[in-house]
Amino acid sequence: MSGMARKKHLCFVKNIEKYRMFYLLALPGLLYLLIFHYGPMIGVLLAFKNFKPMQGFMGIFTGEWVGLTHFKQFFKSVYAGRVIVNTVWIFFLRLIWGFPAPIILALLLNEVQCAKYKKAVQSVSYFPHFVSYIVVLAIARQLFNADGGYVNVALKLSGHDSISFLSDSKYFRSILVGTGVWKGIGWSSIIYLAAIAGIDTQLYEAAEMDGAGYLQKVWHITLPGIAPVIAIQLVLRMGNIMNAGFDQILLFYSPAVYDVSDIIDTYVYRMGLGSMKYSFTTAVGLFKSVVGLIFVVGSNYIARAIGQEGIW
Amino acid sequence: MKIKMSASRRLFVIFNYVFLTLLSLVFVLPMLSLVSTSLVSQAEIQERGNLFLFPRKIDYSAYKILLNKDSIVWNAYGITLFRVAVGTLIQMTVTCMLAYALSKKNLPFRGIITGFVLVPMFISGGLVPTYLLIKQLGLIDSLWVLVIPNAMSIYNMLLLRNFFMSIPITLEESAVLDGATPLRTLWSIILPLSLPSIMTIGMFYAVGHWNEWFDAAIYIKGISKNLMQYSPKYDIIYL
Amino acid sequence: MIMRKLTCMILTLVMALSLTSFVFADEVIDVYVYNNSGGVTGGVSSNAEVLKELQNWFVEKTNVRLNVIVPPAEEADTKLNLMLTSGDQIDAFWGDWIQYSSLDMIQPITDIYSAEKYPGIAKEFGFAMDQLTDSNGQLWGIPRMFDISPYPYLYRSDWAEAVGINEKPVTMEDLNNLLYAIKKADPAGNGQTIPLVTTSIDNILQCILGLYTDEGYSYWYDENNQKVKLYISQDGVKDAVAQIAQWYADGILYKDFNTLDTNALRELATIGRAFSSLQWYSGISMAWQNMYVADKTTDVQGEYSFLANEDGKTGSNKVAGNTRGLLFSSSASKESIEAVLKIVDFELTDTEARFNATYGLNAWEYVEGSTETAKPKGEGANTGTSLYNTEYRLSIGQLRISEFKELLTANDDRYVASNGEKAGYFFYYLYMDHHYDVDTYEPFQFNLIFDTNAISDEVIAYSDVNTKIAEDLYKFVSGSRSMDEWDSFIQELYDIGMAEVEAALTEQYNKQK
Repeated sequence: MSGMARKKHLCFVKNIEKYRMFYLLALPGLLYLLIFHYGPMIGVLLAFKNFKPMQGFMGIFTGEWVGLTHFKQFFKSVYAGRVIVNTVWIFFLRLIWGFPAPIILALLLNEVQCAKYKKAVQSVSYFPHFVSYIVVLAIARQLFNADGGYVNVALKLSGHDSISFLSDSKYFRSILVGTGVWKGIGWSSIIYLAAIAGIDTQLYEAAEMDGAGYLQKVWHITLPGIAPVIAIQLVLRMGNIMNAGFDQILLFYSPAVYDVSDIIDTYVYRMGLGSMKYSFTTAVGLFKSVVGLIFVVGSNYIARAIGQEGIW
Repeated sequence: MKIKMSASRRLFVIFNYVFLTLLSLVFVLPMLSLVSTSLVSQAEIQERGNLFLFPRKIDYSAYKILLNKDSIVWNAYGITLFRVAVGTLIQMTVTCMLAYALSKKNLPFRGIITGFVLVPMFISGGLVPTYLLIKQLGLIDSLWVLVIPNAMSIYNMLLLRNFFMSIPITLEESAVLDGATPLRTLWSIILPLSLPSIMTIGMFYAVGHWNEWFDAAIYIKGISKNLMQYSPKYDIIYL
Repeated sequence: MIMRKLTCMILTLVMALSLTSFVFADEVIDVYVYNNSGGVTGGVSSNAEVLKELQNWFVEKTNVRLNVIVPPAEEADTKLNLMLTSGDQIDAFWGDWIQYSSLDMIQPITDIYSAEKYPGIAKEFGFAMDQLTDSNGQLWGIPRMFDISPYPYLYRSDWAEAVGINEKPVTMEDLNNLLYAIKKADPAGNGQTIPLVTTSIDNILQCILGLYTDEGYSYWYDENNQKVKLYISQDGVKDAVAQIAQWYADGILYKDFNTLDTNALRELATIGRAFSSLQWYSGISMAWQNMYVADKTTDVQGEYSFLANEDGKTGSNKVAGNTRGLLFSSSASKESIEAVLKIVDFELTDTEARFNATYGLNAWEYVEGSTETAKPKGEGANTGTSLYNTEYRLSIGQLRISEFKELLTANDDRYVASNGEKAGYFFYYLYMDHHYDVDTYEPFQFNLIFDTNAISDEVIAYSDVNTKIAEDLYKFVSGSRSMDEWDSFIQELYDIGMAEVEAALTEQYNKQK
């Protein structure tokens, strides 16, 4: 080994020595991941096999190998394209409307001087997070039903025909995304408010002395201050590109709006017939995961390229 | 020195207050409706449907049944409190330690470890292999199944890691010079400094436990171990 | 010497005898039952002491220790399937025998069950055993629900009488007369009346398709090309759908029916807006039942009618009944199965057992003057039943009049079945009046197994076709697609693979012929 390389090698070894205690700290978490996440991961093999429920655990290894059959099955469906498009489309709608909203709410709340009022609004904004989608649907029906829904009552008064919004492909996604944003905006703003609270107040004072206005302060101090949090949130969210909110959609949708709201998960669910099609659902799940992983890696790369921290 | 607000600023402040108040209404009203529905008699629900703002006549029968001394709800509350307290404690411990370790930029193999941590966020074996594992470990029907298989959320850990990374290194260095171990540094220096983020992540975990019911439904067979989630949902909607 | 040998022999004999007595002594058998029969409230557990006492009582009487696993309030099937897949011991559970037998998860009980050995079961469920028997004569379990033709037309007879219609509507013409008359009269006021409500088009078709087609809402056999086909391609379906579309256009059918689930449907009834339903029977009827329970002086009166043509053809299809029953897992031992059957039989033959299993030990009393009917002890929320969740009631099946008597006084003439018995649950007598007679009409699917699991595994078009049917039916009904396009709709179904589905169904049919 050359002298230079030797020095590096020693440095490296010394580093491990130096960081010995840190590895100990990391151990519980890594062990947990190994056992409870990597352990079951072997189950992805089910995606390539014909799993019969009675085979139990050994079925993962001894089951009949069918390779890409299940994947091909999924793509053979006439609706494969549609459900993928719907999934991605709804994901992006939720992203465009639902990602900036908590940030804006956090910024607005930050401008409130009266501490009590700020706390009150903050607390109230958490309520929707605890309300189940069943109740949200009941509210949506109350608002949007063709028969007696408040919105339609208003429409009728202004001379229009009533529209069955929840059964209409043109409006369904808006209601879906809208209620989703309503439900998540308060809870999601917590992380941004925490980040804003962590910005050094001296920066604001300095800017004040330089004669900065309110808008300038937001643009030059607050936003850059929470940019790392925004970046990490965005990168992680991209990993969910194949998840469009199954729980809510299952509750809200109906055959009338399959064309715009039937996503991968709901389609597979209907196929499920008692959810014992383990191999097939694992295969579809694997497909979704891989796509999600690709997007996370990609967006992390982009984040780092524009100067942000990224995940790694 | 009193700063004079410009006209546009004043307008904005007014708009802000109005907007936030309206927004608050949008958040509060459904909750109010839920509370009202739980405070009326069955007969009134039948007459008025499931969604109304104010009770005509307050009736506590739903709560009487729910909070009856023989009701299983007390046991269920006990279990929920257990998992919220113990579970959050376990989660915070594991998460803080790993987050701190990963926040050290010079940690050898940091990249690989981060990768190791990230993959399970996206790739999972699914319900059947997880259930089989839980069964192998003998956790089925044990109270510990509520707090161990979810001992750490990768997402929360990454958030905490980033919070730790934003703490100036100088504060730690002085502790290290004094001969403090990483654990000591974590406990005495880092945690107090990141209290807001610790509280936030802690709250995420606690609320997660409060809301969770699926794992109990699937992994617990014995009676008397069902969680809070069922009872309120059942009673408020169906009673 | 001889004495010693004798003593030795005697001792050995004594030991041998005591050992054999051990063997022949009755051992208590443990059985594990997952009670997703529908008669148990999910996620709610009985009081542990109460349950233990009841368990011991059963052990005393039958030597069987019953261990019941109460399903969660949600995801009950997911949990069951996970437990079965991972090899947990479950001896018996409720489910669809076709699905579970095709996955080899249950075993037949043909050799274990016999009418002589289990007279109680034979008396109660005997006539319906054919629902759980396959074409090879194998019996796969005990039936849970019988073919009560659960798709009647249910309507409020008090409103019907108010518009002058006192007879049950039987033909489509009668039905239309009634519906349009109600719409015109608007009994709920302010245009709030909803003449007809349902949660899905499929429900309506289940109720009326038999009037327009040969087989109703069922697979059918096309003689022309010797194929088994889906219901949608029968002659006459078009007319049925056109009728529904007409109802939608005329405001007879609730326009937002798509967004309803059963609870929302019941809500429309309890707030006094919905008049009638073409739906699974326990939807709107439970709402009216609840209204009656809440206010015994209410005017609300529910009535049922099975629609039929003049030539007697009935609307609701008579597919070979319900395939849901008490099933026995393939890992259960013969002793366990016999033990479970013993408990079921015991509950059916012994009234004390039945009421103990229903209300709990010492939590009930006989209704005055009866030895057949019982009611829970105590008043209000603290009745005997509040500590016990009915999980030991394995004999659940046919709804018994006596169970619901406590809801009405003994002299209530409100709900009387055609055999004179007073029915507590008014639609209970749907069963008694409408059990189909195999001798006069045999549905196509009777005694045939169509393993839809296997079909959907191999033929992806199966789900595609079902999706398209669901979507396009709504389009036809709501008017966004004209009924003239019906034939091209059927052609489109073939374009996306309906022929493959038919081929798969026909293949299964031919194997069983």
